[in-house]
Amino acid sequence: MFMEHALTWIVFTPLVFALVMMFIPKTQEKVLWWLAGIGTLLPLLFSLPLAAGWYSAPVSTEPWAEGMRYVERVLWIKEIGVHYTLGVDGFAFTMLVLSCLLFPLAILASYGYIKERVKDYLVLMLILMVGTNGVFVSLDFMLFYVFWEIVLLPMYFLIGIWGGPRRSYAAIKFFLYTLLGSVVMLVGAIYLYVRTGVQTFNMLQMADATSGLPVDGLTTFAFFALLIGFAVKVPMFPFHTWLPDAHVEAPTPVSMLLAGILLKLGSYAMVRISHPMLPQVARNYAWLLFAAGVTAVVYAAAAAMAQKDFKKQVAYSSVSHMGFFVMALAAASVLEPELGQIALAGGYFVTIAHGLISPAFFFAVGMFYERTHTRDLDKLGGMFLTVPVISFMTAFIAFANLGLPGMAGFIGEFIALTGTYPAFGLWVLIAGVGMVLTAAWHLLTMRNVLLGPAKKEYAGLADVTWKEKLIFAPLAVLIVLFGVWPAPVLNILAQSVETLSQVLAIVGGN
Amino acid sequence: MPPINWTQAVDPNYVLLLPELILVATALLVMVWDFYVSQKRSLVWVTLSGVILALISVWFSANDAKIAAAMAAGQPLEVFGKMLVADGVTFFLKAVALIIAALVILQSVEFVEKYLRGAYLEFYEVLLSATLGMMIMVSSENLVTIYVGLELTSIASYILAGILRKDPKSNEAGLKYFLNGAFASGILLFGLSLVYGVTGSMHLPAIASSIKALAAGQVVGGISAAAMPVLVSGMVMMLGGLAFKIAAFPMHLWAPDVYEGAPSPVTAFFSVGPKSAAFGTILRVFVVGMGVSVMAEKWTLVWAVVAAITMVLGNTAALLQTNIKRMMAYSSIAQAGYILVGVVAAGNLSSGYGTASVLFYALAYALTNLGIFAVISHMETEGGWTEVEHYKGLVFRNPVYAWALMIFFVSLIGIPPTVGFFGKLFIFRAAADAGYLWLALLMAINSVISVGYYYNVVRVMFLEEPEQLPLQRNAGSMTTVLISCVSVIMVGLLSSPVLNIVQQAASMLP
Repeated sequence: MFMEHALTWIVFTPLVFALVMMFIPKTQEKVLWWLAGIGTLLPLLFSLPLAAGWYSAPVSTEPWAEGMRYVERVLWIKEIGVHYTLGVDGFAFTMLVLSCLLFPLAILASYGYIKERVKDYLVLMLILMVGTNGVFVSLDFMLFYVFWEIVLLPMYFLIGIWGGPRRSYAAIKFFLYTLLGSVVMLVGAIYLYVRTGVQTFNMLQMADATSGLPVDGLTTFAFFALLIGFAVKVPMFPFHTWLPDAHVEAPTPVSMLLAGILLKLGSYAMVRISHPMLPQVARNYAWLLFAAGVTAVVYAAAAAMAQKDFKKQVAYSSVSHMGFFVMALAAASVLEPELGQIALAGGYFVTIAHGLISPAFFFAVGMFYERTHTRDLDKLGGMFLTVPVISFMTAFIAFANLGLPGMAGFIGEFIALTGTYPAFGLWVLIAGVGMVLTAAWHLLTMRNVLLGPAKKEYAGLADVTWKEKLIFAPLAVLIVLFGVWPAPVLNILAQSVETLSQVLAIVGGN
Repeated sequence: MPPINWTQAVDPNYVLLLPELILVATALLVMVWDFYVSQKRSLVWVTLSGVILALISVWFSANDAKIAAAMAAGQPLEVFGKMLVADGVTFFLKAVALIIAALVILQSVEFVEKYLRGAYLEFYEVLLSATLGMMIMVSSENLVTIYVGLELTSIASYILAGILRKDPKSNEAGLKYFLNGAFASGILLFGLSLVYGVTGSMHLPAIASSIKALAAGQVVGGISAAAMPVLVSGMVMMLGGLAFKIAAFPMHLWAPDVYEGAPSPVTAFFSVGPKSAAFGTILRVFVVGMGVSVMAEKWTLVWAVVAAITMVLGNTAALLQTNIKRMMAYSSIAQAGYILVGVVAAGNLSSGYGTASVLFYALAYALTNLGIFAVISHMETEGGWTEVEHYKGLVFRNPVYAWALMIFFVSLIGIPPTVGFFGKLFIFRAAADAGYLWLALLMAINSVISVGYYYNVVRVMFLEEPEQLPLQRNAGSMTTVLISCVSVIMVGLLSSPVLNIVQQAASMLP
């Protein structure tokens, strides 16, 4: 009973909790916190047996879920061929687990930090979780789109109500950017649906039909319509300008989720929708994607260096890291499958590593902010002498973020760069410049914040609490674990990576 | 010459007319009731029960053995000398009209009690007549009957707009609506006479067959293809007259003033009632009467341009409004533009999704907008609050209203999982299928523009502090809001049965 509908349980458990919480009076804060904690933790528990049984789980061979595990399917809107189809492959499952891991941590990080309108906050968090998890398990485009948009509103309110001074501006900027991207994406998808006449919105069946279309003006339009919808979320250069604003204004737990999981909606959607559906167009414009990726890597690193705000720096580093993924995806769409899968695996691993590192980094910034009430790099300093443990944690996560070998960030970037080289040759070196810049600003920031004489206005600050250790520890452990032993993740990804790189290559004519 | 068998010639069918008969009976009952009771509030419940009874009877008349058999055979009954037709569009739009009337009555309770104490009878009597007009309008394929229904609705509407006799704004609204409306009716009537002059019939299918004959070069009743320009100018004039009813460019200028000046429950009625009936009429006149390709290619072009300008104009003008009723007026102009995209798609008869999408959207729009106006009615009743700034901190004054308004706005923007999204989805699909991808894209971009003004209200409601005390109880508005809210979500998620009904209805139009 449970295993047959495991994905449904994972997705909708938070919704059930959210509905229950709506009927609990807002003065019962303790009950609400407990419910929210349990509601976000349960999906993580549900996902464990799926992970444990991954290799023994049957792989579907149905056309509507080929290569997927844990599939479910119910007819939803018969008239236009929409099914409630769920299923996960390597791409989806890694993200699903990441999401299930980050939400309980974010709730824990909110405890004691969020003090106003607690009920609204927690309900929105739970609905946000429904949206993100739903995106990763949907195999039907309409279902995917519904979840995709469900993410939008809670995020708007989470930034807009509990954010910093310019929250209103940041929230609507985020909202408008992503909405514009997604409505254009919807038109693109409907165009493909009509053009092929498949009478189904199933992603895999649509991809079967659309990957044979000729490259003409309208398929190019459809590809970019889809791609821009995803690129805004990633965010890919030049659609990234909402991100620094959103991060700076968002409360720490929301920043953790935004960087950790919301950006991955975009990268996941690229490997699930835009590239499998129109590989022939993707191949033609791979150079464009590559240019965008490389530019992001260098530009965002340079931009981060110029910031005076600690959090904004970390935000720009997200743009920079996601650039590696975009670059690797571009490479995979022109390479032969044997080489392309290296790039793809590396690029996707970057997103997973970033999903572990960036929440921890934002949390570290948040720990400083909670104590000193500033993120201004000029005002911080000498923290190693004031709050040694927090400073050590920050140094650890900064090294992870700049790509120090032995931690997860390095593995992904290394494989991605190696994989991209055969496709674009020495142009890849530009990304290398970006890595150097990244390392440089991390070191500068650490000098600014951590080193130097202790400042007397910060004397007597409390060091790390148990709650903070509890949030940081799982992420730190996983970062090191996947840094020295990435095999579990790469093995789960292997099958999906191989399939996608073949799809990209076959149509490309290799 | 044998004597005419009048029964056969008239071919009466009172089952089809059952809803109308019930409505007339209710109107008479209300009038008598008013003489005998001192507690005028009971008039509301009499009217409401009559409307609900009529709504139930629509189901009975649609399932009448004779009518249902004819519909199943694809040859809907034409009764009363072919003045009325018993097809799917008739029943669907009758039901929509009665749902609208019921929700308007429900939200008007407190308003009428406060501002129209002396005019209980008039208000409900006129509202019933307007509804009756709408029902006649949508159930006819004869231009004369359509015109009679249209005038009944219009004249009732003029009275409703000006029903607050001592309020100069309401007077202005009534007068403005009347003068403009009379002018538009004149244009419509003139166009109608030109069409009659060329084709020699008022019966839409007969008009269609004579146009077909004319286009084929035959001479019908002494008229040859040389008269086509007259026919086209008649068509354009009818288009103009009907554009007035749906407040489409360039006949939209009356809407903001009338919407602002009329009492809120009446505005609620205007924004969806006459509009949905007019869309039914537009479908009949253009798809049935002028669906012949030689005419269709002309009117689809005109409507496409009108739709494009209407939505852009409505959305951009709404951005500048500070009065919420004026804002909703421009919003409803924009929404009319969206529905017109469906009408344009219906012009491509080989595609065949357009009509269904128009019908679905009409219902979606009515459900959503009536919910919004229930809140507006309450706010106007309680303190005359009609400016956007009066909505400051509404979430603290009445959380249900604030969250419900948010859901309604989301539906109007077209974000899932609301009914508005599915409405837009079906229109997108119809437009893309009929070859109007550019209109679908423009519509998508417009829905992003519309975020600007809806967002303004949401921002004020959620992110600002209230200046007034919590709202008082208002059972009528609250019930309407809850009904709307539930149906906005449920009709969206369970759109399959509704979609089935509208598709069947659409398939009965040629």
